[in-house]
Amino acid sequence: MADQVYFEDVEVGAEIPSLVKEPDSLQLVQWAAGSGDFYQIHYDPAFAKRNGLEGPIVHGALKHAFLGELLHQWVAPGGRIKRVACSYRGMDLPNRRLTHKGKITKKYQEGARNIVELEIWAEDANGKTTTPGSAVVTLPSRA
Amino acid sequence: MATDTPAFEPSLTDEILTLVGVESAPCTHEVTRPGIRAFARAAGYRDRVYYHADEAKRRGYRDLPAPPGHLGFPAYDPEQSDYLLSWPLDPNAPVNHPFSPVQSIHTELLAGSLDLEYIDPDICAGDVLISRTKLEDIRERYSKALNGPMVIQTTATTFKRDDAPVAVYRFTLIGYTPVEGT
Repeated sequence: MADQVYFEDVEVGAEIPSLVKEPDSLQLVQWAAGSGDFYQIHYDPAFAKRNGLEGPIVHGALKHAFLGELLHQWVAPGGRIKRVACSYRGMDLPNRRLTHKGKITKKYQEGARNIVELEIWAEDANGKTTTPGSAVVTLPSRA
Repeated sequence: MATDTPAFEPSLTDEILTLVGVESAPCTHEVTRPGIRAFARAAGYRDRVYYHADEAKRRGYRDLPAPPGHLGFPAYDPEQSDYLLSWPLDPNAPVNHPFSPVQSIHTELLAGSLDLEYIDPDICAGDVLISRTKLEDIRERYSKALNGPMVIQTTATTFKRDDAPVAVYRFTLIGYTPVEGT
């Protein structure tokens, strides 16, 4: 894990380290068990096609969790995630690379809390944003 | 003004629209060490804080912390729970949980968005959370991508621990009916 990031050291407009994932069918099955979502469009090709889809698609909540991990890797161990939000604008298929990114949009203090807001997103291997979102985290201070 | 959106027969009745604001029955969620490990493993987390209680306590947590997005599991009951999604499901209740449509004219479902806000981000193994899901909005429009009408419902599920809110899970669910040839 990277060294602790402190509130004083971050600047609006800066990007945070990205996170690359390539979820395969094994991970989708693991996610079904780990999240309790056993909807068949995520692992049954025939079922997915009957529902008008190209094939099984990556769970939206898994992409949300990837964005959570992106943030966790950046703020840990001393920071905390206050909000993770995303929209599912494009369907992502398994065995394709997803790159998760974030950019700082605002930083301010509220009482004793050091708050940072970010634009976050996941983009596919063609660079198309399939999962735009936003986040709020708190960071420790050097003081 | 000219539009290329095909006309469709609206499916949302006044009766359905009156459900905005209606809340579900409470649901109990257990946050456990095995559940946290399974969720973290499935997402691909490498941080030991989600797997080793000693590491979690060294870093100031009460026990294994729940990763972002994990709010425990609904206590599964084969007599009452949703077969696919584990949450309690009462077919006669107007609102059940974030992933159940309040009306069933469309046969298939997709996730539209997820907004998880923590009031207390330190949810840990051993916690028992109580959730209630409220229908915040429901509307219908034509989807070019799905080649037909879709119903978009937004729910807000508030999770409490010891009667104090710890998180709000706001979810948008899209209902649609597959069209042959798409």
